[in-house]
Amino acid sequence: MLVPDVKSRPQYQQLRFDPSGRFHLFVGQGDGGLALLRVRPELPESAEIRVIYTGESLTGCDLSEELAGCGWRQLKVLTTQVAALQMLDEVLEQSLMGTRLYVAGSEGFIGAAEQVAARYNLQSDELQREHQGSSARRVFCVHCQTSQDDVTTNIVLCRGCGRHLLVRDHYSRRLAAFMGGMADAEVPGCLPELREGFG
Amino acid sequence: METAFKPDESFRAPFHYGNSPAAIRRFPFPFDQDTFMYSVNVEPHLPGPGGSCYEFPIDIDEHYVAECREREIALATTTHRYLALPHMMAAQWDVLELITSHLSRDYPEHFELQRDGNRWRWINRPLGRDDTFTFGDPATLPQEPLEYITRQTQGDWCVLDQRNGNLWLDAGMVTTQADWSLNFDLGMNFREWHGPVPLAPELGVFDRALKLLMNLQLGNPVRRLNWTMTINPRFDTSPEQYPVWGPDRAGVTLDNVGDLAHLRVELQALWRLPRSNAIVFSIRGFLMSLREMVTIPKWGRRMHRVLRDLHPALVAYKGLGRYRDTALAWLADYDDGTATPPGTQPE
Repeated sequence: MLVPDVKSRPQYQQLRFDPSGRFHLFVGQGDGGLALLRVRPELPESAEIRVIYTGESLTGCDLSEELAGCGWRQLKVLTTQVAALQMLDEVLEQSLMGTRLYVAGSEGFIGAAEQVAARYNLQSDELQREHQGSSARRVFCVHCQTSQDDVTTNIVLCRGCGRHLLVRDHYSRRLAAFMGGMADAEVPGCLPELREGFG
Repeated sequence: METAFKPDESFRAPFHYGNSPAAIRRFPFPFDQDTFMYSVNVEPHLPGPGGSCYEFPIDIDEHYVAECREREIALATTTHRYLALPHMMAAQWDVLELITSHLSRDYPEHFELQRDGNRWRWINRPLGRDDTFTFGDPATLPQEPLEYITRQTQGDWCVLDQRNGNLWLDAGMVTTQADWSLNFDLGMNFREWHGPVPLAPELGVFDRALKLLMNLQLGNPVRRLNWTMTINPRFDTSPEQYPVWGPDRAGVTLDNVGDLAHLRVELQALWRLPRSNAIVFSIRGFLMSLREMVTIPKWGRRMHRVLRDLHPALVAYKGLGRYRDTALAWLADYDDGTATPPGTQPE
């Protein structure tokens, strides 16, 4: 479950086809494939649609085959999230006015896709995001500015500076990450109890 | 008031800081009664009595030179303290104009602004600067306009863009903050960057404050006070530097709390800006040790009561948990139980 009271976190919704768009770009990752399968029957045959999908996910939910079997005219399946995001970047670079972007997947993936979209000045009403799958967090260390993905515990060892970070309920869309700050700064070695928080 | 600057003060170890008796009396003590809870305590930023920290819209006091040097040290030794998104350049010039025009008007003995069309000459005597530049041309300044001018001020400055029914934290100079990160919060809207604050959202404080600020008018700035406590007279209590200042909290004892524990008050003022329609939000910190505070008996008594009865969520949010009881034990000696008259003034 996503913690409901993180006020800086984006609001996620269910993807719905937006008929005001002229060009529709769906980007899915892992469990986000479920959202793509769900909306598939609702899409008008005449609509110009592209799909980018990667099965790489923390939960191991890879829906590549299911998606390939439902008749998209333009579907690209990539093996990694990085490759999917790079393809998103390339497609957006050639995009025209009237593009609608639909992203479905883990919170970390949605955040990373939004960072790509931000480079092309997509407005908030041109972007939909649906959270599916892992609630693992991407955590940004405020001390050394290193981000790490797939954090499921309230305390995590920073790969960049080796500090134990307390993962806070404060989310930056610009950094696509939750805030992490030193957990035992006041009394070194005195750490809060480790909990599985956001698996 | 003739201000004698104290250029040797240091806001990092080895600390060297104190308030003159006059500075204590003009301290913006934030508690008008013996309890504290959040409210939309926003009022017009109108001139106050001569000598008070409200006399002029932008206050310069005895710590000015030392605080500007503290900012230089923070900028030289840490990163991401000054940030501005590209669309904020018009607002940057707005802020430069606001600060230079107010300081030169209100403190002519220290600051001078000569304007000849777009050719401006800015003289800052306390810092020994005499710069000529073209207003509107960033290439004629050594830094971006916002960075350039806020290096010559006390307190932090955030510039808020107004669009889509919200305010967006899109630029700032933040080196003296109480545990929030400009680098992390840059680009957030009003509700997002206040996300970590407890209780206030449920009280409707942010909804009302946002509505009020969205309607802020040119020429009618507003202000409010905010407060927390800080161990040592340290201005850089950023999340980034928590490994440096966090241990301070664990070293507080009954013997040293009067000197180490400081009330930190933020005089926050907000102005609408003319060209960009953005808002500039100044967050000016004032520090006063408990030992200095109890020289004003009313403030000592009231601080004891506010701290004693503070909501547990605020104790946690303000990071007071580790030393509050020690501070209370020390302050108790200065609270004889007599009534404190309403209002923040010293008597």
